[in-house]
Amino acid sequence: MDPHELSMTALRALGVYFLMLVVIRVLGKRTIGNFSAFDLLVALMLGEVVDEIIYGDVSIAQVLVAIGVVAGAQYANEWLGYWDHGFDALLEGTPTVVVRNGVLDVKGMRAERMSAREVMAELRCQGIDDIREVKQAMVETDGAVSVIKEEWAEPLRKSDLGEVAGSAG
Amino acid sequence: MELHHIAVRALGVYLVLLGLIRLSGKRTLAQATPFDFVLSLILGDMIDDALWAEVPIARFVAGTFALTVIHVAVCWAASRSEWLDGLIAGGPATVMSDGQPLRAGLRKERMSEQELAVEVRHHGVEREDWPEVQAAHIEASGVVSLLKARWARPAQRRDAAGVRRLRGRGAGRMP
Repeated sequence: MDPHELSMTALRALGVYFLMLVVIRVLGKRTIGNFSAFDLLVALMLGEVVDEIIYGDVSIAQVLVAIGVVAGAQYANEWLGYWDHGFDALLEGTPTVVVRNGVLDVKGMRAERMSAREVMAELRCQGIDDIREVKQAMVETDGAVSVIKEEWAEPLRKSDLGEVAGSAG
Repeated sequence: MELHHIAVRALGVYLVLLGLIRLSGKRTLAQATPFDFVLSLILGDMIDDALWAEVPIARFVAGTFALTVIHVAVCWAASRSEWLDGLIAGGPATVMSDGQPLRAGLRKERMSEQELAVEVRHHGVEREDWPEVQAAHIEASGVVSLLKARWARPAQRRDAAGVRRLRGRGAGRMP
């Protein structure tokens, strides 16, 4: 392998690094946070596109066009979702309830193809082993499971302490 | 290859993947099982071949669509059969119980006691507080979940209600 080619590869890698910095800054923090289906998708696509420049398999202009289109489509998509919630539901999906009032919601679980075992695993990851403590658990559009506890299972708050002290004392 | 061809292909690939991800469901995104992770890697790797016209778009669509459909079918079957779920996703492995590391579970997951200590520390529990741990599991997703013993859990509002009830005030329905 000749030194010229190696140094060119290193240079292109540097160029890609700064190019990606710009793209990520333009798209905003969401893409890195993987907030939705699309954010993951875009991160995947961008990652796949840029390796070709580093090895010099395609020209810089070609990659710029590809990145520009992907980033532009993503930007347009986010904008549509922000502007109209109907689009948002269509493109990103809607949250699905899998536990309601301490009971597994079989319909929701089927829709997400989740087994009871998987739901319990998600609850354990949040430190819960008693499903009765769960008022509502939802699969959010990013695939994560959010949990809202029953009022009596919520952590004590400072404002509760006065009452406890008052009634105990 | 001409630039406007690349633009059309990039847009096409974007739309195809968008449809596939909506089809495969939200849980694939959260990479709930090792399977989901592998699927996103494969899809990711197929993208650039389509983009640079190394394969025709039709073959890209056929390949990615087939992968997604089989994945959806397998997940659907696993959600209905405990046995299949165990086979594909694997059940949780218990690696700690009542403050004691469990050799069998650790060996099965090839996890050292040191690594376990790290995972438990991530939950804010140092070694001398291990008795606080009721159970730790390695879930199918690879995440280590930790359940604390009842006495070590944060106070809940029902606990305050217990105090109120002692004083004879109404406390609502609570187990």
